Amino acid sequence: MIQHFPVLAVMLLFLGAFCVEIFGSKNEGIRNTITMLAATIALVLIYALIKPVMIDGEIISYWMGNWAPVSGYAIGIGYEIDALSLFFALLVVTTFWLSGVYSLSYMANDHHLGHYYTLYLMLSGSVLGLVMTGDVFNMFVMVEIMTFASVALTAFRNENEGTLEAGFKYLVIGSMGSSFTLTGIALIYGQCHTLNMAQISAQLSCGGLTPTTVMALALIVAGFGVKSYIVPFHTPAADAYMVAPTSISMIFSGMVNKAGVYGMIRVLYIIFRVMDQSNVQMLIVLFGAVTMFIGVTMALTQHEFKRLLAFHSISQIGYVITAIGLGSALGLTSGLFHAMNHTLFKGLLFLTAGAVLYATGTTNLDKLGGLSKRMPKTTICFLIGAFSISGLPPFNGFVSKWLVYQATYTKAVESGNFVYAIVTVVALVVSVMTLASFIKVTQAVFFGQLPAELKKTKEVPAAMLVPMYIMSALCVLCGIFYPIVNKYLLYPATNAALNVTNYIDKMMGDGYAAGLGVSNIEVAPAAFSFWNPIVWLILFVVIFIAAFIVITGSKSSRGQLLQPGVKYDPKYATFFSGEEELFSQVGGSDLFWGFKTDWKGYYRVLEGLHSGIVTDYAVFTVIATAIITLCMFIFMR
Amino acid sequence: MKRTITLMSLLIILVCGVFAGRFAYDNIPVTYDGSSFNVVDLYNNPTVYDTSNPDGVADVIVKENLEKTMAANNVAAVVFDFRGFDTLGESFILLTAIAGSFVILSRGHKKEEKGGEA
Amino acid sequence: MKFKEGITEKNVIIKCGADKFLPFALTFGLYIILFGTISPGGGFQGGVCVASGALLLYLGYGYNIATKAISTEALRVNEAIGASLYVILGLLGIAFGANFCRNIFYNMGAVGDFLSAGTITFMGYAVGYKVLSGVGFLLLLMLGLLAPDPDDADAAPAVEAIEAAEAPAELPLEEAVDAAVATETVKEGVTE
Repeated sequence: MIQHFPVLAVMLLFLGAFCVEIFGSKNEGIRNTITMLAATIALVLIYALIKPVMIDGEIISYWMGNWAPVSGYAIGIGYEIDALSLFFALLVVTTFWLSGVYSLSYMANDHHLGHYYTLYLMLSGSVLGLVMTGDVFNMFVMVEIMTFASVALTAFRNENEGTLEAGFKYLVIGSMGSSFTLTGIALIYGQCHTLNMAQISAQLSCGGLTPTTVMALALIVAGFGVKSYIVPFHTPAADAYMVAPTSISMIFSGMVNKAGVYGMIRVLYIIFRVMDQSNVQMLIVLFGAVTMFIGVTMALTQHEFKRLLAFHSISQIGYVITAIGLGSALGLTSGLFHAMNHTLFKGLLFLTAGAVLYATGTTNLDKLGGLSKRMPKTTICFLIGAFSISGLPPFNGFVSKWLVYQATYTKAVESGNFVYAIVTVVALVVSVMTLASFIKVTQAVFFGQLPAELKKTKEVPAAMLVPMYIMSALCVLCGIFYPIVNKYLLYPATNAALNVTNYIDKMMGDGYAAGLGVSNIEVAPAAFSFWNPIVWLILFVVIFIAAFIVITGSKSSRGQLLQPGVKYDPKYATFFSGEEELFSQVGGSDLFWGFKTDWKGYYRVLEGLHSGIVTDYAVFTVIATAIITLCMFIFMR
Repeated sequence: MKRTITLMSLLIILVCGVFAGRFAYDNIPVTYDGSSFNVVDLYNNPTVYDTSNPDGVADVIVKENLEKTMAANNVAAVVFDFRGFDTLGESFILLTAIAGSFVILSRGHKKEEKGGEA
Repeated sequence: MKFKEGITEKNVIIKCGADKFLPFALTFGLYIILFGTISPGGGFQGGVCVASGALLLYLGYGYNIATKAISTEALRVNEAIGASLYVILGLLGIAFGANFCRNIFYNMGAVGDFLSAGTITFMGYAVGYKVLSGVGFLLLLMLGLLAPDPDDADAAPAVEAIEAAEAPAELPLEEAVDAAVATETVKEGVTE
């Protein structure tokens, strides 16, 4: 019975979407009930798979329609759930359940809510189906459902300005990515005469890498790169995360990104198995490093809360891609851990941004300020998320970033290549700039002076606070109880990604992997240095409580609330060197004005490239695909 | 400048693709051409066939179709039975696209709120 | 709806053509859906053929009468019903002990019968139903963008101006001049 659970989870989500469309367009109670019922049942079914797959270590292999392989050729579609798939499936299911609870009260004032819940359930079902399938064409079909549902949900609030334009950009670039993936799959089918991942993996190891398969690899990597928003495919992400409803932004940054990352891991590690070649490692690590840096430097100059969070999301995915590209067990562990932590803390940050938008009606950093007195619970959740993303102990961001630094440094020492040392330095600098950027946001939104028109903001309702509490608790717990997370979630997943023999044998019958000659790689649980998280937690809590009392309890000595139309007072121009600013405080979005001026040339080039024209973005996509293809052809022999 | 780079990258992809295609044309056998396959024999004896040494998935599907699915239209059998899950996914794509189009193209509420201005 | 002086309906030839071809299109499409397992065709193809009936209705009668005859709300709900039917047919496999999407009664008839291949036939019907309602809804939705809004006062003169501008291509010279003057006055009436 347990082998039916994955298919039942996916199909119940889709069936729930259809029931919402049939019954739920008029009656709100039925609609909410059907949505939460479908999401909860899917959550329970996937969580019930932890024990057989992660703890006992077996792989569930399931053939649709009972079409088992005949004479070594797989004629049907198969679902294969090993530890890597279940790791991502757990993330997906948790994220969309929390988003569903959040959107029950966040979206209460919108129109066309029946279509919103239909599209939300289709998006969730498609990502869940993507991570659990064992057939390349089925993965492509699920990618297509995900793309269309995402475009429709981005352009959902089409009475706002710029929403349709963001949806259009997403549609163009996403379709290009899907086309690349489809061409790659067609080339693979021409070479191997089969569409099953395990069988393709076995055949490619016998025949080696021909020019056809190298072209297919380049195209599929480009396709999944578009889905996971690596630079320079990152351009629709900034607009799309900004204009989408916040519960959907959280799903975009938590689930849809990870589907692209999962696709890249599957293709590089299991189907093609090219990650032991140093040239491919260098290519992927360089892409990741560029993504990290460009993401965070663009984020330092943003004036809008959600757009800033979008650029930070791009930068953190750069960390994950860098760690995955290293090709070692430590690198893969740190990459997967950072992916999990990114879902948790970035989701938390987006939820707080949504709470601010719901309470005040704006996310413009120049117009907000001093919300910590009016919305204290949201402030605490935001601070936990900000500390996690910057990498402060004892939160989970610190653990995963430490592992990433350790992985890149170990790689630099082992291989003697200077580039990996530079990548480590870049990762550290990006982490510092992330912290700087979040200091700016905290000061601009939560501390500082409260503008007069925001005097009456209230705390958000409970249905929006519960997901924030759950995610904050998970952030703290994953940071403190790191060894448990490693033993039950990360070590089986890394083991499954590096040992392909089990994967192939389970799907195609024992002994099929005889032509491989690949021995199982022994993965040691990642050694972590002498660091006691409990001590750090107690220290942190004590200092934090003291600081909070001091900051929010004392009377603000900066004078009265700002009245509109007050005359600008030049004696507060210390940080701005005489440039006129709207508020007489160190606030707003120009905290790092000096940094921006020093790097004026760099920012001129960068902001000129982000021009907002769709044809430019499409050209970037083509150029990046050409670079990937050229590198693969030159270096792959 | 931008145009040169665009043309160059398109040319790179085209050259690599043509190279890959030429290699495939020369070295890889066709997926399934069925030249050694007798349809009349199979139709008269649907249970007598030999799948012990197939040269691809298509070979096995064509030979097994009449016995295992009893559908005269082999294409419909592949679409709905052997790969029925993908057809399910495709119909979901259609439904998502139509629901999405309805959401994007609806502008009635904007006119309501702004009092009927175009 | 009023287009020109004295003519109260659209072009008679198009309306007659729509009248005569609509039942043929519907029947042909239904034939392709129903006989999907025996002859070339199937669910997707036949569904699109039936949905072209909505297009014929729009061409012959205009948008308002087409939406009165086919209600878009019903089409949207029926599409979801068709999709759920397909999923339920797949779940039948699990109910009878095999895996998902299993063809459980595949030997219910000989090869070449009307009801021959088990769930293949019924899944074909479900997909045909889904595609015909979905594509019909999509066509009417997009054609609704072209239709003039009912409370838009200057839409009819715009259509008149287009028809009047198309007309004087074949007239002799003085009548063409008169028609051009009439067009100009109509256009000025629009821009005011």
